[in-house]
Amino acid sequence: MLIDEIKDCSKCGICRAVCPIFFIVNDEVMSPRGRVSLVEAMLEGNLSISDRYIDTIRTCIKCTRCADVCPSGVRPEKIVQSAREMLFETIETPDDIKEALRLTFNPKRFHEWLINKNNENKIDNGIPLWQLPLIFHGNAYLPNLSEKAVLEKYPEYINSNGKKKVGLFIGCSVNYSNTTIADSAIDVLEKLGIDISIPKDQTCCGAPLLFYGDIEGAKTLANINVKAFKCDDLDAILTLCPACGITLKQDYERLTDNSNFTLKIYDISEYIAKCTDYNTKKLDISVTYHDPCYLRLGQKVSAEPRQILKDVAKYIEMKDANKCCGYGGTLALFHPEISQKIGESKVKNIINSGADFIATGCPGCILFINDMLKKSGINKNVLHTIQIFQRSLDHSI
Amino acid sequence: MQIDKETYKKLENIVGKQFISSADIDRVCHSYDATKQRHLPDVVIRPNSAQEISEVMKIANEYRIPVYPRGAASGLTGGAVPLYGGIALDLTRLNKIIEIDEANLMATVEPGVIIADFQNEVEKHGLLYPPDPASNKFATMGGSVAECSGGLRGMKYGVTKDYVTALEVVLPTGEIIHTGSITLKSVTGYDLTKLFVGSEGTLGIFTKIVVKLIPPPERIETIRAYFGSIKDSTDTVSSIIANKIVPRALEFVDEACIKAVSVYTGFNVPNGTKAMLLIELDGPSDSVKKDAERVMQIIKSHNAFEIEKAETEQEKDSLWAIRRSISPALYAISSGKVNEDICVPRSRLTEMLEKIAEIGKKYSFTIANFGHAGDGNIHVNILTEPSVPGELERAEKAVEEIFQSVVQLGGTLSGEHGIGNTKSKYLKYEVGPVEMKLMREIKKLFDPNNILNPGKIFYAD
Repeated sequence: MLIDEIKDCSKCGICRAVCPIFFIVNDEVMSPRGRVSLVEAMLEGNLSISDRYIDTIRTCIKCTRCADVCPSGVRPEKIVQSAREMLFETIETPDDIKEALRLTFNPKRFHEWLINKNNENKIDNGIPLWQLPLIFHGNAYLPNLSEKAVLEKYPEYINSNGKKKVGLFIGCSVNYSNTTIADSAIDVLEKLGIDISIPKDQTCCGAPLLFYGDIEGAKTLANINVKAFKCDDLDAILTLCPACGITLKQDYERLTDNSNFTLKIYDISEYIAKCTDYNTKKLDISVTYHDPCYLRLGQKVSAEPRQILKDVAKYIEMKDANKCCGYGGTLALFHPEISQKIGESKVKNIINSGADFIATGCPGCILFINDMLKKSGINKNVLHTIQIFQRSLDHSI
Repeated sequence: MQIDKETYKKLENIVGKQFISSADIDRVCHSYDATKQRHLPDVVIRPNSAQEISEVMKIANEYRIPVYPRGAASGLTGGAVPLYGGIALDLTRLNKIIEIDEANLMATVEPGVIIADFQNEVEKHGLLYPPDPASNKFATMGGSVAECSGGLRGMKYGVTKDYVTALEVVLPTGEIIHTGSITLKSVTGYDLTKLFVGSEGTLGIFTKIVVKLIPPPERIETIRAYFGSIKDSTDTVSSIIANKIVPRALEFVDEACIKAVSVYTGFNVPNGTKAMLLIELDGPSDSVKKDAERVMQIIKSHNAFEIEKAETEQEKDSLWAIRRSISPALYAISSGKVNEDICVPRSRLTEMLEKIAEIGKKYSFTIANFGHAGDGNIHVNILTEPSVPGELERAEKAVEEIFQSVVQLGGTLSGEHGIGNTKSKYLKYEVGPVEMKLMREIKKLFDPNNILNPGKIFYAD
């Protein structure tokens, strides 16, 4: 029972020390202990739904830092998730969000809609600027939306005459926008002699619906994906985005009936470090790494990308690499002002590292940190770990 | 609602619309502390200066509105809980480290600064702020001064009151006063500073805190030893002290805690372990190395069956790991725990632990003990199953007996958590009627209308 789990909270406040949002806002309401207490009051009938309650419950980025330090074993991110599901059941979803969520069921229309929205909001100040109104309220530097989605561009099966066979889960962000990440991943896998299955029927992982509390919607998408990947024929299914990865690894157990599927999921850096042999030449560049929350905390993958980067370049560990960049998915959507403030220290630590390149494992972090760097006038690029790795196979930097 | 619209408006004019609220969402989130008690305040105010607090207090005093100051609300005796509603005064916006004065080895901070943030900043200046409560990563400086926190280094370095030299305080009647001096010595009149330290938010609200700093020790040695009997471990403690060695930390962990930790974390603890000591020595390199050798010999002569000394930082961490896992481990093995922080003279430690074991047996509870053996401060944890009828009442009886034994042995009910409202009914065990009357008179002198943190320390009987 949810309420029993909440009752385990001893209200000690240790979670205040690690919550990236509380760190900026400094208001108990926005702390893990605060959120848990609000859900408690709600379940006991001592609190009614208000705009601020909804906002508070939606603002958690579910990074799990609080759960990791909780001496009583409370999982605030799970309590928040349950609260979101209850909210989805009880209150009407705003039209614009409803529209966006529904579009995840129709990838083609989703793509067109994104391009249209993008064109509507194009701002020209001399730099190519694109704005996804749903992702950022303010001006943001975003990568071009690709006219051709990854899933349209590649065949369903790429035979590399290898002994291993993996499925590649593309994810919306890579499919429509950060398509070069997929290009690199596919190129790397081919060069390592691994066969790749890229089912065209795969779709959104369901994370946006799940995070919003639409559990039934998420189930529909999860089942489409499980059906699309014939996981029994594959050694592994690789993800390029940690939000997709954590959803496929952890939530699909609950969203689908196929528990074999979740066992096959690897983040691409995790798979390359653990399951492949590679020979690379060291690039003459220095690179630092930022830990995406859903990769380091959610999936416990942090040594693997570092290992890869150490093998292919001069690696520099930045200060507080494991701290949130500020993107946090919906955080940047609902509270850009908090995102921005969290991001400022990330930018500082990146600059101080002195590295030529910044690697990370998450398209969301890439988008956000690139934007923050450009706004700070810093001419450096954030790349996906797999993109740096590809260059070492190519020696193209 | 205790606060009418007009009064609310006056308060709003002081701090601004953004920093006052009577919304349920804010009231819920400012109703509790780490005792899990919940009492809703009527309004939450988050002031930003001594001036604002002063004006809030004037209004509260005029209209007799209870005011409950709070920092991180991580206290363990109910100090921050708004027992009678009124105003919850959240001080976490006052979170600036105002000055670190290397020339005078002093620092000035606001009350909302997190202890660990302050310690880190002090370290950057090559100095040390020794008070080190286990909650340092989230508890505030204001809270630690109000409760006079101790921590792991108490034996050698003392507790919070040994470091606070001056305060800026807003009185319950609204005046802003300055106590103490930023000099190391000062005998001008009564020592009001010390009176405020440990006053649990009942006498005034700190808005500036001046503490002294010390140069950090050159070297730290960490030793862990397992014993086959409690007596061997406590004799070791006495023997170390008799040898004129004062460790910075001398931590005791009993069998129940060790068992819980080994179940919870899979730690390999030698069979037959009844007690563990964790000893940390610090000082100039040469002397601390010598002390460590002597301590190792003392431990051996008291039949310890396993001794480890850390050679690297990593090994130090791993030696501390058991001690750090106790709290979560105890939560994991029992659904409830009644946690007291008694303190007895070091020489009576063995007797006290025997007495606790006896009481545990009598009321059939597992009682897990750990804590700062070096200063006689033991955290007593009665493991309970709150859903069992009558269990909590039984635990309360056990606590009562433990407290009576503590006082008989010349000890004190609370080493570092304070009285708050959870222990107020036991205060009379330790504090005599004349002393109690004096304390009540002091409270009245500072707070004639009993509006600041009412319901704490003194039991309303």
